[in-house]
Amino acid sequence: MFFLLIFYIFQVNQVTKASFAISNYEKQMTELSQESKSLEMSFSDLSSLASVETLVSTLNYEKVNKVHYIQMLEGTALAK
Amino acid sequence: MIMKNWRINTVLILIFIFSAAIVGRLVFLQIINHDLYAALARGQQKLFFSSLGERGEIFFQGHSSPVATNQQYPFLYLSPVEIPLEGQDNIVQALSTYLNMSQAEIKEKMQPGSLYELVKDQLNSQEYEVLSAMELTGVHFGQEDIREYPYDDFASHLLGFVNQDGQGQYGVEEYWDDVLCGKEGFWEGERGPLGYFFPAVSESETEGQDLYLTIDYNIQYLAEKLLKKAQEDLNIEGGIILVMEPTTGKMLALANLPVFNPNQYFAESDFSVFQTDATQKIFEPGSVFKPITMAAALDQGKITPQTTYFDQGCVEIAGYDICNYEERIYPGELTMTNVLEKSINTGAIFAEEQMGHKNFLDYIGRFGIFEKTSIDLPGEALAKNTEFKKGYEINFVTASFGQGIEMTPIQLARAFCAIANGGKLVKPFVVESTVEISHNNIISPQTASKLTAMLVSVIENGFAKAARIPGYYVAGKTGTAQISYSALDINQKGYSDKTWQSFVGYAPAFNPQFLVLIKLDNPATKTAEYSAVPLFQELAKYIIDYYQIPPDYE
Repeated sequence: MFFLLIFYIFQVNQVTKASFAISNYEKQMTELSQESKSLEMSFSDLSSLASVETLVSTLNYEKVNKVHYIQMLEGTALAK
Repeated sequence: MIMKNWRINTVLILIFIFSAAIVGRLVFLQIINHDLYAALARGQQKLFFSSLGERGEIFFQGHSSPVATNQQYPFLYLSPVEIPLEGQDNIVQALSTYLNMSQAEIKEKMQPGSLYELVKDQLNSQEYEVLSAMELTGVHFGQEDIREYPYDDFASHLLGFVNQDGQGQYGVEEYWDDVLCGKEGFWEGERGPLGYFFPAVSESETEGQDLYLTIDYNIQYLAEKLLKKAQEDLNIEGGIILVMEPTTGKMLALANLPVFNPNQYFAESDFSVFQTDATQKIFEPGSVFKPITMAAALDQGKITPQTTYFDQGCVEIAGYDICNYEERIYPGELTMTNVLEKSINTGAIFAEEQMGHKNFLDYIGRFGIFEKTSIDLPGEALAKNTEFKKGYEINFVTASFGQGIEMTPIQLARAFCAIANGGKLVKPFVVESTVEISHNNIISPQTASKLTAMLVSVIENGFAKAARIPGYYVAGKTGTAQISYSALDINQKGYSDKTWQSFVGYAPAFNPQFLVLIKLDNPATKTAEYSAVPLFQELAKYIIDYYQIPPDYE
């Protein structure tokens, strides 16, 4: 009887610890998820073409006027 | 001895009665009322609740970040019944300082006896951190899910918005609302000792599905930028740029001006700003419709690109003089290719007369002008064309060069797709799905090919030279149409001085990868040659480089 009582108290203690840990982890997950969302929003903003354009305009790049394509003849392959 | 037995028996009887009472009570609790107490225990140990799953996000092609997402924001509310009288001033002072609100506004929320008074939603992190750390009595915080559009007014007409009830309104948000919106889920959790919960599990998947649109982020961005530039340079009142894949109907861009910010949709007082001109507003296309007339007459075999006629400047129909633009007269023998190059109204009338009104009407129907395109966007408009369908000769004549006949820009773009892709009518779409391509040709591949050659000649020799891209054959046609008073909501017959200036073009002409339709509302230029054509050239050049399309010739 005494042994069962001790075992019950031990079980309750373990369950309480586990529940508390789960609750804490869930809270952390929510916080991290919100932080991740905020970072995603910042990333969206920074990776937008409007931001890229602003950045590029400060770098003095020259605009490409003509793109040259190299014509590859069909069926031509070299092997050694 | 007798006395001793009596005492023992009394004790035994009492023990028996006590035991019987306990057993009886146990039978009552555990057997007779088993179900009731089992249910009460479940109620204490378990937790049931329902919640709405998160709305799906929306993505464009060529961009990893969502263009519509969800964000949780804290909001602050008061529970005035909890606030002691002596603490009210302190709360009013703190809230007005950190929330940038007047003290009068906060005092108004202190309704005596009220349990809930919303003070401010969408708190920023600083407001939330400072005020929550103060732990003011009667001041509470909650969390709400807000639909967020990270790029504000970017692609606003295409996306639409989500209203306060969580319903999608306009654009993709409305048409695909059932797919995007989260489902209601029932959760079951277990309450542990000291009130801690075990994780709850849902009985079903509750999150809405993400949507992947066919719209290319980069093309959409440039299209919107060009429209904004046209607003500054040409003073346009509005406009659209529509880019699609002519062989499949896949929409690559759908830009609309004026724009609105879907994050602040409630700030708009004129709801018409939410409508997408490309699918929800009808217009008279003007000369950009001439290729459809030519396609019909070519397909009937009534004309060829080399068929000639003599222009007189005007044609008299039922007592009306129908003339060329600015009453110009083009001398000499003119081919049908010349008609498109110089956009001659009398030439379009000639082609229409060759095939007859009945055939013309039939072909307009074949090009899908009298039916909706069934694009996956809400509220697609369909012009009634009541006056045109009455069958008066004058209406057929003016329709041959795009006046007196109405359609949506998406219908016109689809009709041009059929010319570009060899004669097949496609169904435009913005969400990736199984492509539906009709196996029936509305015009023969030969007709489509001849017309494409004529449209290339328009770019090379006609009024649309500004659309040329060195190394590539580009097909296209300009259009400048006067806007009728009725289209401007003015109760008057006839046409105003305002114009719709448009251009439809595709490239590379004989293996088209994209088709662009540009329509500008009343630009400060006389014709589309100086407004829509340069915009097309810039956009088409960009797409050719972006798609890395090799040149047609050196």
